[in-house]
Amino acid sequence: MSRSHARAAATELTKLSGLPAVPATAVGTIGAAMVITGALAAAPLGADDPVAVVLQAVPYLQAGTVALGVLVVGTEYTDGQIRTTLLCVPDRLAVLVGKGIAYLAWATGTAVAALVTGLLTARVALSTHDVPVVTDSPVWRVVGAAAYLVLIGSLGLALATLTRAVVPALVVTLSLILVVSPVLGTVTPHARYLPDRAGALLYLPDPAPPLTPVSGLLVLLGWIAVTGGGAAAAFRRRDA
Amino acid sequence: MSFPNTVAAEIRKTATLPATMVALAVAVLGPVAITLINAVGVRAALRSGRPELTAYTSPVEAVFSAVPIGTVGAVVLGVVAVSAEYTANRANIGGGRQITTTLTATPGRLGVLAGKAIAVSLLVAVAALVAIPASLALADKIIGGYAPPTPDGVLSRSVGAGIYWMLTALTALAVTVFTRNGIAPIIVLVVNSSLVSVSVLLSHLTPLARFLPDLAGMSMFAGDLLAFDEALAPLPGGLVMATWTAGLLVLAGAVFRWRDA
Repeated sequence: MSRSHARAAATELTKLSGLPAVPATAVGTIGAAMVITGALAAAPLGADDPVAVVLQAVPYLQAGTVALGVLVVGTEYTDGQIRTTLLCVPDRLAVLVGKGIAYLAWATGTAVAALVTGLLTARVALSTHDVPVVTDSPVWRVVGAAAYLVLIGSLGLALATLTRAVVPALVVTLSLILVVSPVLGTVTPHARYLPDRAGALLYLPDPAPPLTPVSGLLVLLGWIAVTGGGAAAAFRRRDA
Repeated sequence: MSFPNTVAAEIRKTATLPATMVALAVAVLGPVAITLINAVGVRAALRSGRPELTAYTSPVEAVFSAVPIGTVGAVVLGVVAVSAEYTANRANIGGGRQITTTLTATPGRLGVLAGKAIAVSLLVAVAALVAIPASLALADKIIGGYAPPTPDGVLSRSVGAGIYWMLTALTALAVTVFTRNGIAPIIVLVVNSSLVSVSVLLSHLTPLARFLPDLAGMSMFAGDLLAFDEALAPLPGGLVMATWTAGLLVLAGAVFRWRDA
C-alpha cells in the first residue's frame, strides 16, 4: 500500500467516525446481536450450544454490515461531499481503496463485537435453562461468520458505488440476500451459487455439495470481484 | 389548499420521485420474475415425476411465495413518500428541504399526512392490480397441464396480498414520520419482510407474536406457506394488522402535527 493510499484510508476513517449513522449502525448491530441471540437461546426448540445459537443469528446481523458498506460510499452523494473528496484526492482509485480499508476496519470491529456479544448473551441465556450447555461446535465457524459478515457487506459498498445513492443500494442488497435468495433456495439448487448462500458455508455446519467452505468462499469472492470491479471501473470513468 | 388538491399534489409529488419508479418496478417486476423462476422449477419437478423436489406443486403457491419481494417495493414506496420531504438539497443550491415548501403551501398538517397516505395507497393498489393477476396468469401458463387442481380461495388470497402490501406501505410511511430519515425504516422493514424476520423468531418464543402486524397480516395470503402453527385466520389477521396500521398512523399524525418540521 502506497503512502497516498494510507493517507486516503486515514481520511476515510476520520470521515466515518464523524458520521452519526456509522457508529449508530455499529451499536445497533451489536444491540441486535444481543436481543436476537437472547431470543434464539430462550426459544424452547433452539440449540443448546452458544456457538450454534450465534451462528443462527448471522442472517439477521448481515443487515448491519451491509448498511455499513452502503453508508461508507452512499453518504458522499447525499450532500455533494464527493466533490470535496475528489478535489482533495484526485486519484479516484486511491479514494476507493481508502474507503475499502475504512470499511474493513469498521465492519471487522462491528462483526467481531456483535459475535462476541452474541456468544456471551447466548451463554448467559442458556445457563438460565436447566439443560446442560454443550460446547462442541468448532470455534472456527465463528471466525468464518465474522469473515462472512465483513465480505457480504462489501457487496453493499460496491452497489452503493454503482448506484451513487444510499436507498437503492440498501434495497437491492438487502432484498437480494434476505428475500430473493431464500425464495430461490426453495425452488432451484442453483441458488447455492448466490453470494449469501455460497458464503454461508463459511459458518454453517452442513455442507451443500458440490460446494465446500473453501469453494463457497471463492464463489463469494468472485461475486465481490465482479461487482467491485464494475464499481471501480464506473467510479473511475464516470462523472462524480 | 382544498383537500382534493392536497391529495392531487401528494400523488404528483410521490409518483414523480425517481425512487418511486424503482419501488413500483420492484413491486411489479419482482413478483413476476420470482413467479417465473418458481414456476419453471415446479414444472421441471412435475415433469420429471419428482414433485417432492419443490416445497409445493401448485401454480398458486408459486405466486404467493413471491409476494415478499413485492412487500419490499411497498416498504420503499411508503418510506420515500415521507423521507424525500426531509432530504436536504445540496448545500450549493441552498440546502433546503421540501417539507418547508409543502407546509407553506398546505399549513394543515393532518391534511398533508392524509394526502400522503392516500397517494401511497393508490400507488400500491395499482402495483398490486398489475403484479398479482400477471403473476397468476404467468404461473398458470407455465405449469399449465401439469398442475394439480386449483385450490379454493385464490381470489381472496390475492386481495389479501394486495391489502397486505398496502398496510405495509402505510406502516412504513408512519414509521418514517417518526424517524424523518429513510435509512433506518428501510433496513428494519426489509429485514422483517424477509424469511428471517424478527417476528418469526419471536413466534418461537411466545404465541402472542401472532398478533404482530406482519405475522397477523401474512395470514391474509400465505395459507400453508406460513410456517407457524398458531396463525390467526385471514380475516381476524387482516383486522389486527389494520388496527396496528391505523394506530401507527394516528401516532404519526400527532407527532407530525406537534413537532417542528
